[in-house]
Amino acid sequence: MDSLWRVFQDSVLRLWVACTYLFLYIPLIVLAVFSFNEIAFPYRWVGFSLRWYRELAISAEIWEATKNSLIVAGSAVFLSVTLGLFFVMWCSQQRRGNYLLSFFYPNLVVPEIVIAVGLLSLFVFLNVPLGIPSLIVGHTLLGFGYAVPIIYTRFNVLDKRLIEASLDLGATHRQTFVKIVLPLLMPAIVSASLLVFILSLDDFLMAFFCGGTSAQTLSLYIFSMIRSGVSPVVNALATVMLVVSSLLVMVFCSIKTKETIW
Amino acid sequence: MDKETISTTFTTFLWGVPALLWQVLFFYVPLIFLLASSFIKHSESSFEITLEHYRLLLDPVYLYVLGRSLLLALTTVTACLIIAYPVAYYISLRLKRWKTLFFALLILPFWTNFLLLVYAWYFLLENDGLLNMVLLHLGFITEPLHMMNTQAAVLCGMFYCYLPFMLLPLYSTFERFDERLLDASSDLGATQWQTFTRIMVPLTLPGIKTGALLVFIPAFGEFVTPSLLGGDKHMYIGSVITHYFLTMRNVSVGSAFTCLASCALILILFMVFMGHSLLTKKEHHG
Amino acid sequence: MKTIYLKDICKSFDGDVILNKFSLTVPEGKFFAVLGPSGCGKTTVLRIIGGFQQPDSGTVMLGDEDITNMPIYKRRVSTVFQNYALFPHMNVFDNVAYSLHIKDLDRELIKQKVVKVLRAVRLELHMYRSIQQLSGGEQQRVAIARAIITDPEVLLLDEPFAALDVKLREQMLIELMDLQETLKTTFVYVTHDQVEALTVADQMAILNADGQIEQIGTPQQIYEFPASSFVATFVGKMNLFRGILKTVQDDVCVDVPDLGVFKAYIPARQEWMQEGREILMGVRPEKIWIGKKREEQFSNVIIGKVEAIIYHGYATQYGVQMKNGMMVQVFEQNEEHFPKEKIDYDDQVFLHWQKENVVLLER
Repeated sequence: MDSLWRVFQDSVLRLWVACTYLFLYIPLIVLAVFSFNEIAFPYRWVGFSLRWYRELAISAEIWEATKNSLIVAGSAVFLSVTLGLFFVMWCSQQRRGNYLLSFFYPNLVVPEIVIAVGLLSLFVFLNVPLGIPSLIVGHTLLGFGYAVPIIYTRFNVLDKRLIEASLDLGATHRQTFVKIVLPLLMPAIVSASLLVFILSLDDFLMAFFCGGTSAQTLSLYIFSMIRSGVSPVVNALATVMLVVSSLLVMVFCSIKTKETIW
Repeated sequence: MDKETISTTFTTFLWGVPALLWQVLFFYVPLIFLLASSFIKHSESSFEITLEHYRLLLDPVYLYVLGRSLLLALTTVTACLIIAYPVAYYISLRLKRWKTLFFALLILPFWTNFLLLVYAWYFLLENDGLLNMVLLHLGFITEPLHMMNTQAAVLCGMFYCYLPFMLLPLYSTFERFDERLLDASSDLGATQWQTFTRIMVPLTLPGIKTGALLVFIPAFGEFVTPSLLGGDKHMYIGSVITHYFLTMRNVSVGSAFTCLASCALILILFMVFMGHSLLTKKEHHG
Repeated sequence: MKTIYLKDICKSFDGDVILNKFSLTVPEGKFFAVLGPSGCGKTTVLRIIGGFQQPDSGTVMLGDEDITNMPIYKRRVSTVFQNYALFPHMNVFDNVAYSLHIKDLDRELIKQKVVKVLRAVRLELHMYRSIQQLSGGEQQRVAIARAIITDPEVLLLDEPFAALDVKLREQMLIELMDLQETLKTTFVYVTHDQVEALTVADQMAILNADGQIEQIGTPQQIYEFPASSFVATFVGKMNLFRGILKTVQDDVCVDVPDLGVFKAYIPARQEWMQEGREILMGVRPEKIWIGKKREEQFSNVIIGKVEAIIYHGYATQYGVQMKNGMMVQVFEQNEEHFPKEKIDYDDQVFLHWQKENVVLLER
């Protein structure tokens, strides 16, 4: 009797998990499937077509938005990761370095809308024009919240004797950093970069408040498209972005497994 | 034994300054600025400190807005927790071979633009959306269901977007969970329910708390998903902030409301924290 | 090769004084061991020589060069770390060649040197393996190879074999001694294991828990003629009897209350060896002859009861209780396959030792 109950429990659990995954993925799959539909709507499957992808490829608006999103994301990654790296390294030299690091923890805790609105008020007050630069500022800020803890955690587990060994063998401080510290920090740097990149691409709130009217990013574009109703071009765009996200997830997971080896 | 740090090239102040400067200038200063503007009224000539902006917010409407956001955030947290907990348990402790694959599948929505996720639901739930079309076609209904612009749709969308935030901390907590404790508990005569409440839940509590916070704090200020899926019928904290900052361009009242909402959030978190520590103290004494 | 001079080194951490006016001369070309209990400061001494720590005051000289403030990478001193500290992202070759890569030497020359040094540690077949694939002993050999390829004046070793199992450790110690013989580099070997120190050292220094040098000498000198009871009990086991120094009929004797008067032999009379003075008489367990019958050819005899027997295979250790309650340890080698006499618990036994095998200690 007891084993029957266990089997029942097991099946319920499995059903629960299966339903959750279905729930998560059916909308996305449907979205993707209908991006290949021949006609717009109503939702009858007419035939396989790449028509909407072609429209996607020639849409100047979307390319503009993509370009802007990539510029912002790239700059945010570069700034937050490099400045964050320098900061973590500098902190390791100071007494009470970890107190200095907690300076950046609120970036993750404070709701993004508050940060965005704060930046907006500051820019308005200083008469700074809103656009790509102001957006880069905001995203770099959010990026710090991820980059600093990730790089710091990795640096902490680094065996400090390796640095001593390198110096002992005749390498100067700079050589030691380039040949030993940097390669060993690389997994953290790459995962932080990926995280910040995705964060920036997917971000909406910061762009909404600090982007101004001039800069159009992918998020803003999708938002305006949703407001105006359903469109198969958006389906196509969504599918493309899903594929890109999947690739990035695979890269991220492979780094995580490599990290555990070292 | 020795605590001396070995020096590197990064000893000069200059290395740390850019990041610190950025943080102070673009994070802390704006927050102070927000706080300050909520108390200041300035025009061409005058500049005075006033509580005028806050008085404007004494209208019960705003309390209603805060309450709505709170309700939304709480329901989202609850829904996410209930669904995510068994899933995290199953993936972490029951799956052996496909674990990494399922984990990757789990975090994929996390890495997708949430607007696309909202759009997916939009696509499904619209009056002439897929779900309705399918149900009509199959003859289950004669008229399209009004699924869009309902609270249910909003909750659905919120849950869909925030589930990964609850799943990830729970998953990592379960990863560190020692399964043998469950065996030990049954071995000592506990029923499944007792093992669950006395062993599993307390030990996964840190993960639950992290997940709850990661969902609650952003959900409290959420307005995009409710507005897109709920039809802008109700005002949430985020919509009020948007209204004042972008539509009315009234930085003063906007900052006042932001400060008010932030205080409400801090108060809520504080009460939860207090309540939790009171409960744990009771356990120790009782 | 150069001599190392440490003069009046003082070092404190957060108010704890680790070293106070510590001075040491390490002779060139020898295998020098620094032995002491955990936390005595021996690792600190090593790290000061290596440059990883600066002394609060004092000087470090290598030959006639003052290297106290010289940065680590300029010193002609190499270190073999306790946990190997091998670079995980490089293979064996790159680890060993690291110091040569830094100097930007010619690739062919680098390869030659690496092969030569790997041959010296018997790892030439593993040249391109990754670090993670090596065993503990192999990793340590890579660490040694990496350190000696720079042809340093001094090689510092910080308990390098602590993480290895006993059999492997023995083998590595012998290999290390051979290496030192071949290279003739000064080795400074820090350890808390007295057996290791006795095995490898040409000369050794014993530090007490306060970071002061108790004695410097060859292993034989330290073991057979310890300068204090600390040294006597830290290195090997020693039975210590407290008594009064007396002269009885031209013989130097020690009057131990309740136990009797024992004869001692001192090769040279020290200043502190005054008549009537309280001293410690030490006898090593292996120098005591145990038997159920009294033998007359020994200078000193005492009677006791066997309370403990510990079998070591090649030897048996007895704990014999004296009249005054003191427990004397006796170490008897199991010379015979079929021993003539079997000693058991609670047996009454006679302990004998010659006066030449006695050590007199002031403290």
